[in-house]
Amino acid sequence: MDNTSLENSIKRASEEMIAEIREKEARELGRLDEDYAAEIERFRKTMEAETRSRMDQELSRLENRAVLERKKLKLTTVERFIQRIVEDVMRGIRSHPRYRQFLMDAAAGAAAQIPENVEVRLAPDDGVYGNEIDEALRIAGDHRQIRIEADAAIGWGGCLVVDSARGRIFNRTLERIYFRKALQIRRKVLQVLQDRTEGKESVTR
Amino acid sequence: MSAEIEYTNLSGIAGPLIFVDGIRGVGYGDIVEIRDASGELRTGQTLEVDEQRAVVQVYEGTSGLSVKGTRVTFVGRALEIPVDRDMLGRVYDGLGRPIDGAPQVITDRMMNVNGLPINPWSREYPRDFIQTGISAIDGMNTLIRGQKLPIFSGSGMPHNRIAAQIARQARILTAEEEFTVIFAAMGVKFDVARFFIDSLEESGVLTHSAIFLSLADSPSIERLVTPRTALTLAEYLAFEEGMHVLVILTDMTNYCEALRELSSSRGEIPSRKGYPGYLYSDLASVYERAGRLKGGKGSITQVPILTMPSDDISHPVPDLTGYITEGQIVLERALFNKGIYPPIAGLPSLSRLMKDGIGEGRTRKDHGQVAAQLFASYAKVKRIRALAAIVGEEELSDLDKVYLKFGTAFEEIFLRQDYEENRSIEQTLDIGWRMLSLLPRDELYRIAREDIQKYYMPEAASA
Repeated sequence: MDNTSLENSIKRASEEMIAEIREKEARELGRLDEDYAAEIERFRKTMEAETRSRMDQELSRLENRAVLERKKLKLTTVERFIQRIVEDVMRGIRSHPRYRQFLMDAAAGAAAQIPENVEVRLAPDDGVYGNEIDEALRIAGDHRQIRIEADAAIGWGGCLVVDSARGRIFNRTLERIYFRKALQIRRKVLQVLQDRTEGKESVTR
Repeated sequence: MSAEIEYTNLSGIAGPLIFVDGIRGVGYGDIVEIRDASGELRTGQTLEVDEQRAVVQVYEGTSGLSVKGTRVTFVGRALEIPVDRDMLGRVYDGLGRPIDGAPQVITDRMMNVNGLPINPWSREYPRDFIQTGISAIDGMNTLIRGQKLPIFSGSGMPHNRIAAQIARQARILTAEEEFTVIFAAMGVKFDVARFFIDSLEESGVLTHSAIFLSLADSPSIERLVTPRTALTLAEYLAFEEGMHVLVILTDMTNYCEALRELSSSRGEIPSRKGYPGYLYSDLASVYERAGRLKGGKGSITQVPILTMPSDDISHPVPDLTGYITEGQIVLERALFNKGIYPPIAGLPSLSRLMKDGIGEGRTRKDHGQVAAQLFASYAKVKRIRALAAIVGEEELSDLDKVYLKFGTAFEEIFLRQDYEENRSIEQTLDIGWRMLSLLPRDELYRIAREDIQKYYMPEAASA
């Protein structure tokens, strides 16, 4: 019996099935490739979006920081300038013609509120006024004990008048006066600076 | 100008308090300057005054102070801080002193930190909607400009992230004035403070924000002043510069702990859980510094954050806060444990001013009805879940099963959103409609028929 035609038929059928499987495989591979490409594209887009968002955040952080650092630097510079002006003024204040009288009035004004012993503390550089203050306070004619002491903690000038019996210190130092007025003084200096920068003659003196 | 008097008669130091004898002409609540032997300056306030003696609380704490060598000056006025628009972008301590390495802003404008609660007659009723970009808030517990809406949270829950997200995303749709964020932290850890600074910096908000920090290791007494200094700057910016100011205060529970500590130092009779009897009025003096003024452009909106010890909403701090504020946003442990962010509890959260700030011309016509229906439907979900826990899910009716599906979708899609996700009110309402469309039309009994016709999407149920 000749099996050739049967074999051929089986062969053909097998080849057809193989071709179909290959075609299906190719389709499947194509689909997988497409899915893969789509997945890669999605991932790329996600990463891109995340990176862009991260970059925006970093950019925003840098911009923020730059604006703030500039603001702080400007403030620090102005502050240093104000400090220098204030220190210059305070260094020269002892040679001001009204300083002696200020010191005498400050000591006398405080001492007048103390019924018992009085201790006046002066900056070491103001020692020259010690005797004068001592005399001025004694003129009142009372019998209080008056002591004049040097106090290194007083730098710029002025005096501390101590009422040890009542635990009070009358503070008339220039440091304290400046401390109390610092905000206004800083504001005025800044105003003068701004006016000068804008070319206006300052009216705030 | 007469000499300033410094007192050296300290008779005792106890906790954050010092006792000064032999004083004259000192007022209650006056600010006090305390200089130790080295001249270092601290600030305090008189708490009690009689003819000869004053009790002073020292904001920076009394450690290192001694009875001898300490000098005390009664300044004769209440605590004031400098205020200026230039204070924005900076970081301050609880007393309003800069701690970011640069000097204090140059201004001669000073304001009393105690402010004054706004006169009821001068108040403008809050109406403008603030879009936070968070659906659970915008959709169901809308924040209104000038409102005080606290976040009731618990230990470990993401209240700080929510607050940072609000600070970053908040904007007013119906107004064009500048929007500013003032952030005050009381008793928080440094990492929390750093998180807020970084978050504001990254989002570009820091340049128009100011941060007041009284950290966990700062003297507890400073925490009592911190919200007041922050609100003082907020009042200046809102009522003198015409800005919209969002004030975030965290954590008010730490503030109340500090109040309790001080109260017991003073030997006062304790009230509930050891808090002083005046806790309510003290909290009111902070919370009432929010609102809008008639004829003014600016406003102060407050979002205080408080952690409820053991998640107990009946604890005195959330309890009394709830009396004063206009609603609350409650964070729910169960949602948090499910990994849902933000875990804003649907039912106990409430915004009392919401109804006046939403609707046509402000958000969208259907907003109120959608919110009411979501509340009602989610409440039903809670009841059905309780029933299912007893009888089992299989025994539920078909409608009940639909509600369960709605409940899950509501939590997973409406409530849940990303920390970076900023949803517009339209997006929020559309998501709300998608959730409601899971339910049969007949179940939407709080919504007008015409709105159902317009927004109901039956395809959502099949999707």
